Amino acid sequence: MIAELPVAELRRRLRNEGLSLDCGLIRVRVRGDVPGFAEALQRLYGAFPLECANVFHDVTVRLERKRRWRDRLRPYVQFVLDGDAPFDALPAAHHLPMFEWGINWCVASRCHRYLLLHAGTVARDGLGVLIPAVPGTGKSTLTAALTARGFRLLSDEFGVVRLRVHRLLPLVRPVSLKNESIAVFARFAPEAVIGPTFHGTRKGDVAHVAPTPQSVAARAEPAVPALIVFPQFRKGARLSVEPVDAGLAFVKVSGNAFNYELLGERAFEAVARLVQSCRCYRVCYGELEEAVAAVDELLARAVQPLAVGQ
Amino acid sequence: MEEVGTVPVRWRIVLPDRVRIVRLDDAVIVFNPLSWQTHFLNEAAWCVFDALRSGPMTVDALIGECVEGGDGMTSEDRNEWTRILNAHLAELAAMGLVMRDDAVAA
Repeated sequence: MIAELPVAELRRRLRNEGLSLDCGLIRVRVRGDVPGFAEALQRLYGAFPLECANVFHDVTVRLERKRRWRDRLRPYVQFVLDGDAPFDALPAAHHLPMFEWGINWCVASRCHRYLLLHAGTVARDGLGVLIPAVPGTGKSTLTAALTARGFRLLSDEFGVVRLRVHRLLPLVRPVSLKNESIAVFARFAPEAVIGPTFHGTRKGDVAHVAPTPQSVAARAEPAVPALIVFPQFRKGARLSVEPVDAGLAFVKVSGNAFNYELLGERAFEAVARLVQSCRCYRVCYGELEEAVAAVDELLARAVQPLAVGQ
Repeated sequence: MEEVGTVPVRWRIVLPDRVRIVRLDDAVIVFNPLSWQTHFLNEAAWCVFDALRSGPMTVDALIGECVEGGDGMTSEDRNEWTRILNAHLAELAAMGLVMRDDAVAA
């Protein structure tokens, strides 16, 4: 496991042949010598296996240190993907958020064999829960909380739907939390492995939760979609759970996809099948524990046959 | 009734074999294989579209299919329904889902 590697050896690998990260859907080779990056990577990807570097990688990235004269030699980090730098550099201290955002961009712009939803995805007993949402609705916090209570993490950022076969595929990487949710989650799951907090990023303060070893070990196992939860976090709100009819669910899910229009008819069919085969609910919550219990119960109910009219 | 020469105008679905339709609860969702756009049809638009799935039709024939008591209505009611159905057909045509038969010849 990556956690067992001495940090000096991890730094050496990152400077030379690179570190291979098998996330399930994709395998990433990462190189970089930005201070602090190796330690953060090891903390968050510690449960991932040490892979041979001489295997096929879907994505090869490098985090390069940059110094720009106009910034009076303030160090910057550049995300380099297969030799190109698709983004502006960020302050070097934001190395890990840049790495994670960069990988998100790679997936969203390349993995068009699949329907890609902007959604958290977890599973239990092989049954998948999709949590599609726009930013600020508590998707990542709920995803992390479910994972901390025994669900398997498939992804915090992407609902990856395999076309035709109708399965959710894992893309196991750290869960990204922002601002107040960092402390909320730390209180909720003190045993969880949380990486360093990166202050003042373009999304505010950001910290990442390491995937559980169980999630990493099952990163090649798809899940059957069973439940779609549209979350809405409101501070102090009482829990409310309302069914969402399939037509509205279609609108919300298709509107949430990164590549719906690109995939055309295949996406239409995939979304239709998703909303027909899953129970769909809107879950408004103010307390994580209540939301987790609600999702737990909804998933248990989802495996029962649908009654007429439901 | 609108006519081309002496032949009443008929409406038809653009690609009846390739258009994709899914019914979800009360919603009807249609995928247009030409534009790759997805459209939501309300009950009235769906009634018109569904009737055209059996083949090209004039507005008069559509009234018979979609409006209860369409065969025995007064000419005033018929004119009103003709106006309503033409509006739905124009919307469906704007989505690229239906077209006038004479547009094929053109």
